[in-house]
Amino acid sequence: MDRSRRRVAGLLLLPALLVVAVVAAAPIGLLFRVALYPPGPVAPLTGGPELDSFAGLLSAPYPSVALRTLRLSLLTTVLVTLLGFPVALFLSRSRGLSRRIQTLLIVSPLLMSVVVRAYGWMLILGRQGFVGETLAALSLPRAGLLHTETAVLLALTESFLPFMILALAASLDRIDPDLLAAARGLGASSARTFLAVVVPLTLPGFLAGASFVLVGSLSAYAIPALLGGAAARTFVMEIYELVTISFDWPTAAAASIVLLLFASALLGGAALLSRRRSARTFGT
Amino acid sequence: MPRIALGAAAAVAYAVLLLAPLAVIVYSVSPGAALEIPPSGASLRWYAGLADQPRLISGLFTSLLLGAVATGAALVTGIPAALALTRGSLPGREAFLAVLLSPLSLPGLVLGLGVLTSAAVLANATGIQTAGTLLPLVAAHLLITIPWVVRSVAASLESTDPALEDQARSLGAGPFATLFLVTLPSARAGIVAGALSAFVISFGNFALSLLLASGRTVTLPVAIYEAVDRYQDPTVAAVSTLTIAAAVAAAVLTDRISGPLKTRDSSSGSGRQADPPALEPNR
Repeated sequence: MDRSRRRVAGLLLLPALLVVAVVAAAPIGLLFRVALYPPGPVAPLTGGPELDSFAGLLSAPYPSVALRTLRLSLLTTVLVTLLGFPVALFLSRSRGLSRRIQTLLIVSPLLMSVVVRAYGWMLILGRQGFVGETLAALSLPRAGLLHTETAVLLALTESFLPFMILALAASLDRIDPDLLAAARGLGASSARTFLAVVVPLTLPGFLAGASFVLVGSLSAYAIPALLGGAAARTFVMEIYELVTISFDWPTAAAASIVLLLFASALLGGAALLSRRRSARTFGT
Repeated sequence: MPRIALGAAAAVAYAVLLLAPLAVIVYSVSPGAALEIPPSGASLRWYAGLADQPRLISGLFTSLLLGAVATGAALVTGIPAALALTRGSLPGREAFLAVLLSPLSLPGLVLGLGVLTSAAVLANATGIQTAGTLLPLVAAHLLITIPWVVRSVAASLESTDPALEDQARSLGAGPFATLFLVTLPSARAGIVAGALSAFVISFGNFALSLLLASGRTVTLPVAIYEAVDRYQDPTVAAVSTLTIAAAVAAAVLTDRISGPLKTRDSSSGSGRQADPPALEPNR
C-alpha cells in the first residue's frame, strides 16, 4: 500500500520535475557549455573548450559594472529593511479591515508588471515629468533625476519593499505573545523587550527577505535599463547587450554563470545562517 | 515603539508604493502629449488612441494568450505535484519542493538566455524551429508559474482533513471519484488562487520574456518597455493603466477567495521562494 502510494506520488510529481529539468536545468547546463567557447564579437561557437570568456570578465568594463551592481543591491537591501521594518511592525499589530487594506496595498504592486512601475518612476523623475514640471511651475530651475543611480536606487527600493515587509511580518506574526508578556513580567522594559526578544526573532524573516532582495536587485533589468541607462550600467544590462548587440554569446553565458553562482551562494548562505540560528535558539 | 510613529512610517511606505502607479494613471488622462502641472483638464483620447497602436494591441493579446496557456499547463502539472507533496508520504518532500520552487530565484534574463540557446541548439540538432513561435515563451512561463500553483494548492490541501478522503474510500468511492469529488473540491480555493497568481505572474513578466519575444510573440510588458524606451506618449500610459486596474482587481479577488491575504502565506520568509507554511515541519 505504502509503496504503491509512493510510486503514484512519484508519477504525479514527474511532469513538474520534468519541466524544471528541461526548461531550467538543461538550459543552464547549456550556458556552461557555451561559456567554454572562445569569446568575441559574433563568436562562431566553435573551438575550445577554454576559459577565456571567464577571464575576459576580469577586464573593463565588467569589474566596475559588477561593483556598481553590488553597491546598488546592497543599498537597496539596507533601504528596504529600514523602511520595511516599521511597516511590518505596524502591519503585524493591525487587525481586521485595516490589515486587509494594508495587505492589499502591499500585494497589489507585486501583481503589476515591473515595466509599468518603472515607467511610473520615469514619469515622476524626468525633467519633463512630475518633478521637473512642478519645479518649472514654481519658477524654479527645471531638474530631474532620470538616468542617475539615485533613480535606479529609488525604483529598486520601491519594487522590493513589499517583499521585505511580507518577510518581516511573517516572522513577527509567529512571535508568541506569551513570550513578550514573560519578558515584561520578568521586569524588562518595553524597549528592552523589543531589542532582546522581538528583533532577534525577526532574524529569519530578515535573512530570507534580505537574500531575496539582494538577489532580485542583482538580477533586475527593467529598472536599471529604463531609469539608469548609460549612467548606471549593471551586470545584467551588460549580459543583454552582449547577446543582442555584440553577439558575444560565450561572454554572455560566462557572465550569466557568474551571476547564477553568486546568487546561489547568497541564497544558500542565508538559508544556512537561518537554519543554524534557529537550531541554536530552539535546540532542534 | 509608539504606534503613532509606526503608523507614520507605514503611511510613508504605502505612499511610496502608490506613487509610480498613480503617476501612470494621471498621465494616461492628460489632455495633451506633454505632462502638465497643474493639469489643464482630463481626456480619454489616449485610450481611444490605443486602437492605432498595433504593437501594444498585439502585445496585449499575446500576453493574454500566453498567460492562459501557461496557467492551464501549470495547473495540469502543478496540481498533481501538490497532491504528491501533501498526500504522497514521499521521502525527501522538502527537497522536491525546493527543486520545484527554485526557478523563482533564478535571474529572469539569464533563464531567458538559456531557453533561447536551447531553442537554437534544438533547431540545429533536429531541425525543429521554435523561433518565432510561442513555444519558448510558454515553456519559460510554465516554469515560473508552476511554483505558484504548487504552493497555493499544497497549502490548501494541507489545511483540509485527509480523513474525509479515507471516509469516502471506506464508503466505496474509487480513487478517482475520491480525487474529483472530495480532494480537489476541498482544495478549490487554493486552485483558484494559484491559477490567478500564475496568470498574473505570466502576464506581467518582463525579464524572462525579453530575449524570447520577437515579432508576433512580443508580449505586452516587452511592447511597453520598447515604447517607453523610445518615445513619451500617454497611449503607453493608457494601456499601462489598464494593467494596473487588472492587478488591483486580481489582488481584491485573491483577497476574496482566500479570505484576508495572510502575510504568512506569501512568505514564510523569503518573499517568494519560501516553503508554504503548511508544508513546514512543525517546530
